Amino acid sequence: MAGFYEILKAEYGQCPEECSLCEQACISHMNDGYGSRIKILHLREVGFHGVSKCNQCNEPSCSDICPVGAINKNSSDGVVRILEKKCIGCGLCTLACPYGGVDYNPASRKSFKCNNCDGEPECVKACTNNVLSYRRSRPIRNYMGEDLFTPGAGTCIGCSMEHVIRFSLRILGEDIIIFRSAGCSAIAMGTMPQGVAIKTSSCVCLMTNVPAVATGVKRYLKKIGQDPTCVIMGGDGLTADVGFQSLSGAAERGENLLYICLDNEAYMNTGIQRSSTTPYSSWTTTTPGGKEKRGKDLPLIMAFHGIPYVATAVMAFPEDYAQKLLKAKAVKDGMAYIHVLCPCVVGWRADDDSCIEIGRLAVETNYFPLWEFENGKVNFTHHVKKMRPLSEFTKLMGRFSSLTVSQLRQLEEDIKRRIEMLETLAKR
Amino acid sequence: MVKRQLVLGCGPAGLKAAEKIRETNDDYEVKLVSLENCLPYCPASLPYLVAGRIGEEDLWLRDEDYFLKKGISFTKGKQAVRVLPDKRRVIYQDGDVDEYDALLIATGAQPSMPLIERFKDINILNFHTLTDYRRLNSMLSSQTVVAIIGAGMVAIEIAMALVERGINVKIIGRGRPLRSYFDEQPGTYITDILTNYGIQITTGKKLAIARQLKDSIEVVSDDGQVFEANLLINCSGVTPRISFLEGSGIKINQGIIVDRQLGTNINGILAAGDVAEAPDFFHGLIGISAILPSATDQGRIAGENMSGKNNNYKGWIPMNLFNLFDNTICSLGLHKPRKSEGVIMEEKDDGKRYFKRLVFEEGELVGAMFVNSEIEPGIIRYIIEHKVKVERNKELLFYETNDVSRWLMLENEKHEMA
Repeated sequence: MAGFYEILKAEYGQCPEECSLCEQACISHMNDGYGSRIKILHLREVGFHGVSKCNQCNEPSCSDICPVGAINKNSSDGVVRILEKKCIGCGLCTLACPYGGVDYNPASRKSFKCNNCDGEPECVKACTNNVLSYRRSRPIRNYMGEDLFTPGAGTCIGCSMEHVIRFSLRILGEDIIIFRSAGCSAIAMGTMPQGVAIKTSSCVCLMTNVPAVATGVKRYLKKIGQDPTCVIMGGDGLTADVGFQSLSGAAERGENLLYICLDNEAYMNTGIQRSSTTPYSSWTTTTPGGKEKRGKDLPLIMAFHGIPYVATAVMAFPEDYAQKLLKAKAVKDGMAYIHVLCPCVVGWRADDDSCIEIGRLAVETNYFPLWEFENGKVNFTHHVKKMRPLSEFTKLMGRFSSLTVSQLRQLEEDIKRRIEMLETLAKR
Repeated sequence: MVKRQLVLGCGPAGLKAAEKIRETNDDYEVKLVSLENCLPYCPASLPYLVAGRIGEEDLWLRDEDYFLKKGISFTKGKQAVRVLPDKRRVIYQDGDVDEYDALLIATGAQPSMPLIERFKDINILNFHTLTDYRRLNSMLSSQTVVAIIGAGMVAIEIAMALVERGINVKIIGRGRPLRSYFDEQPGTYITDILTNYGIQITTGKKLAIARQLKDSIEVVSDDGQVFEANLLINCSGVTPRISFLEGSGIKINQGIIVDRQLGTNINGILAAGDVAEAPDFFHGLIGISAILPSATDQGRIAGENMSGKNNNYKGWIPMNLFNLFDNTICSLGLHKPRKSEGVIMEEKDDGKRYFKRLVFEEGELVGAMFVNSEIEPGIIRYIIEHKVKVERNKELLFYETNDVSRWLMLENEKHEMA
């Protein structure tokens, strides 16, 4: 399987004229007379100044064609290397690589290429213009399983909730039972009996009793010696309003359930009515002038139930969410609760392709901080280095289009107060 | 039921296909059957064995352990003698039978025989397999004079290897060396380069008589010229290894005829590599492309399609690249435009034996030919295969081929990614 590795990334055509720092660094570091592996292009005629380099392909054609198997992709660091001793100098690799990543040295009759300096690329260190970077991707693919969605999706175009469910299932694996109830999420996972859209066991419950049903099923399965992860997925209306008593009760009883709240901050499936997580000043069909009350801070309420694990997540930070899912799945002595912010392009009146960007800005404006709660302590999982102004977030959505300056100040004030509270809990 | 995928032949095409099937599908049973009684190797590496750049131990592309780990069953030394498509069976020489759900024929090619048949009592060597190499190697000494019949790709490779080893080589060909890849002008440079390294080249000859003398062979051409050598190597071409398909109903021209998915006329049977006659890139006409890049490409597509995909093969492009001692020569695609409105751009330098030609048709690059010109052959190939629009940058591409081809490739990648 193709892995995810550290990669050398070059911003396209962003080099300053005349610069050749990367080439010089490569030549002096390799010091073998073969010349630079990274190639800088200065084409004044067309105004292009950029670099080209080996991509360390997942299916390297240079390796496929090598008649003696001297070129191989290392499965642990992903670097494609030439075993110089074995190289016969036929040069076929230079014909096979479409990206000019392999070069031939006639004097030594050997081919040569970039090896990412075995993890410490000198060209990146030398680049003072932020064109080159060495990206260390984390091993998200290692724990991603089969996609448990069947083809076709019953959600609106650009829906981030569908993305969250699909991703969650890939991380949690097949040995789970899904409990769900009325709402967009239930439709995304299929309306029974036709059009079931997920390949796991699932149970559709009433809105008022989902955790109660899950409790019964989980206790029975435990009794007969089985221990599948019982996952509840539902929206904010189900979690914060209609089904809250059942959730709160199950949390208090210490039921071993994994509750994932897919929070799109209103009743989207029934026509965008306000819910108790709808934020202050947000438009909904029942708050045409903007909501006057503050939203409920559900993840903190769940944290104060004293359950073993509570976390917040957003799809713009998939690795963070994956880690939290794995932690939540490992909880065996009570309830785990993850609150996922799911931007809704229809209800939030945003562009079809904006969900990830909205999610990212929600985190970077501190509107939706990423944290987890364990052992009575909050731990921030993403530190916002430079907080962005809240207006960058609100301007992406039509639901905040008639926001007044004083409403924005009020919202900022609320956000500030919440962050301070979380920081207090983090310092304990 | 588990699907049984059978691959006959484990050259570059068969090996790539088997690995691709395993990679895309964990459940299939994959069986790879090799005619030769050894681990897989690539015939293109054999001349380098002669030259002494590598030893036999460096030849193997994979070992038994690898196949065990991958879950590919590898059988060596087994020759298929019949294919029965209606029963989905392959019968081997030793009487064994394999059943399959999908079959890939990648049995490669063998040297064409006409020369050998005409001179039955003369010891003429072939150079196509490891066994051929071992035989040749055992007969070589520093005093040996070798005459090579033919002036194609294999002939030049083996001639260079022998020269590198310090052996006296004569090439006797019908046409000038590598004439199917390089036309007149660059061809002359190539002949000069080879002659410079001490290879005697005689062209325009057809062999009439060969006589075995006491410790040498005398070859006489039809116009009466006499050549003397200790060894005679037949490099007059290869033909697909297909004799075992007689009566199977698989459609055959020179090789096995395949469509864009590399399927034959019979459902469930595919062919790839030197044995297949696949559509070419420019015209979509079928033909054999007995070169390594085509073999790996076809092997990959065939493997994918055997694991349930429906991928199309873009078609092969005639191409070749040689490092002739210190000289690099490369030919890709068409030598001339097919239509009168096509454009050829060319420059040369007799003193440096430098030649560069680009062929354009309708704003796209369709061919290139280089001798001792600094280029990135793979990127030129990319520009041809991806039909990159170069109309506005033709001159630029010609005069600054290296940098501009890189830029065109990057630009096209950016658009394809977007």
